[in-house]
Amino acid sequence: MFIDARTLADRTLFKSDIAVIGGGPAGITLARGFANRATEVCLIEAGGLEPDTATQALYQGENAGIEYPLSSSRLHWFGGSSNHWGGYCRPLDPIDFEGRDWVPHSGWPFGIEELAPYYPLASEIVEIAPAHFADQAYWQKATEEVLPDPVTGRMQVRYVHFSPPTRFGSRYGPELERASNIEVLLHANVVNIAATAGARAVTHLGIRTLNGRNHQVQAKVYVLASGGLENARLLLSSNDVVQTGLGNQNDLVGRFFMEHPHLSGFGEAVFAELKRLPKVYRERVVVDGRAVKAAFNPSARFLRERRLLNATFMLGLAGQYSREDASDSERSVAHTDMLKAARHFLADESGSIDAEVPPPLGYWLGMGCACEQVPNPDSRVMLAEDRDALGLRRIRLDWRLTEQDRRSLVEHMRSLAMELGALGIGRMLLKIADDGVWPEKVSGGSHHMGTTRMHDDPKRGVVDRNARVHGVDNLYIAGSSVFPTAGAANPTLTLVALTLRLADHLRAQL
Amino acid sequence: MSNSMEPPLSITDRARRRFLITNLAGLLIGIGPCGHCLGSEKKDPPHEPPWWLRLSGDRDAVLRFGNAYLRSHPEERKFEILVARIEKAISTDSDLETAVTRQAACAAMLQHKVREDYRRGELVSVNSWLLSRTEARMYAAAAIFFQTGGSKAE
Repeated sequence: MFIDARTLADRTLFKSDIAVIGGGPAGITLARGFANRATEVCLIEAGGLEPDTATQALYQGENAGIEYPLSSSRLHWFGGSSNHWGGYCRPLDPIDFEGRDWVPHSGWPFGIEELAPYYPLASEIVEIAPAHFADQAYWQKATEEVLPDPVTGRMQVRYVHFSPPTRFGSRYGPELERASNIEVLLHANVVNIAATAGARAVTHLGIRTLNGRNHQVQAKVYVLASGGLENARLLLSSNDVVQTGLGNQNDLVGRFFMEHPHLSGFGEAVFAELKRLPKVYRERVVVDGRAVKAAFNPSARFLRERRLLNATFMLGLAGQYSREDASDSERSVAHTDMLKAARHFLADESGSIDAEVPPPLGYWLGMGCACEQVPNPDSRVMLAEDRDALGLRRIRLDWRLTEQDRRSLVEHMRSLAMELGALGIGRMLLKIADDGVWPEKVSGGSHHMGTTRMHDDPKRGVVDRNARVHGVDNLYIAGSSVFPTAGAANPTLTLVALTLRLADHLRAQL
Repeated sequence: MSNSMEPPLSITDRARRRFLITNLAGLLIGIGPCGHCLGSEKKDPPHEPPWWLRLSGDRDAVLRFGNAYLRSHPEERKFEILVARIEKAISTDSDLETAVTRQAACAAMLQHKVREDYRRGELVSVNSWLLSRTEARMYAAAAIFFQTGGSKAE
């Protein structure tokens, strides 16, 4: 059942077994895990079924570090940020879970084997199943192309699968609406997580609507699933019992904010012959209704040898040069010069089968990268002095990157150049100066991670291995805010898998 | 690789070196002075230009890369040094010589060496491009050759 909280009588009290805060991929996945069971679920969503300006404005905040789009990087209506999701899916790599002595604060409480059973179902939920993320032979057969393996020992090929993308609200909303045991509260903003004296348990949630109504939700178990920024904000704002915020007795809530730093235009490559770069390496290929594209990411062995952070690179065909190309743009001249100088190394010169259509001089490739950043306690979400329309203090984000992050990226770009050259595919132009400074135009991927990190030790993590907030018996967190490290894969698939695991845990508890 | 029926090569390093420098000079049809100048005095034309200059691609493009390399590696601004280093690099790769034909052998060895440079990370940055060191030296040698009217000297 869907209920518009704005239409309820003031001070309505809802009671359920589980209260889920947030109607995005994590919250909806968790609620679905209980659909048509005996457990009563109340799913609380701040927005409605369509976007509205006033609700979206609640996400505005201020930056203290790298400029970050706090509002436009997430969406505040049913389905959450899946409503603008690009659909990129790849699991984390096994090394991402490991404690690495060169990566401060690294290490999940468990290895990938703990999540592996949940990835297939997560793949079904995001509509990419059956997924083959690392099966080069499978894709070679499916695409009917020879797919060269990397030869430098530095890189490996992985396959990013593209969700349609699944808009969780429209895709799974009707199922929740039909479920007899689930109530979905819309336009219901949680403004406080109230706890017992001593903060050993949550007693209820304070709800406020933009038209001034105040309600309460009481449950046995509470699951915070509002996204990597809002989860921290809500804990920090819930400070009526613990002055520094609920679950923040060790000053960890909001710290370790991580993104996948993206650099557009950091590098370009040219190549002369399409046959040397398989289609799936340069564009999305649809096989059996599923879209995939190859990604290059460093091998675990190379990461260990060089003590680097993880990264993912993807190539995309961006342009073509004819043999008579006369463009005098700086980029065009640089590219065509390279193609002409290295012709012997990049083309067979066997000529076109159709002599009437001379082959182009070559092509240029744009590159995208998503890099792991080191968990950094100084990269953090805090509360600003300014307040939103509901009276809550806005977010103040201090996103920081380190020299270790930058050095890793530069080294991986070098690896990519090596692969392209060693395979005889092309040549790569690096547009990031190796000068010890991050480029000004670094951006994120709207991946908000790490702010309520998972660790068995309460002094090192906000939640335990079961995603329960340390010290609070009935409060759990779902979503990428619990990631202790970010890896270099887009987080949605993993956060859905983690949520499925949490649902299993809660079913056993209730 | 060529499909020619010519017999495979079987040569010693010394013989191969002599072969590289001299026998393939005939491939260099079309290579000659282009009128560009580094500012240095023109010298006598070379006895024979090395065969691999033929593989160095478009002249103007090669000049730009070659000169950029020489600016950042001034210690290599001598044609003989570049030739010696390139040919030494190629001569260390002997695994191809029994499988390829005479004319294709040298080009294949150069291709192989350049790819090996990439594989091993023997790279230099030239105008922000990450290039094989052997490849960059080839452009540099070609640039000197073009700009000195075919002289081996700087």
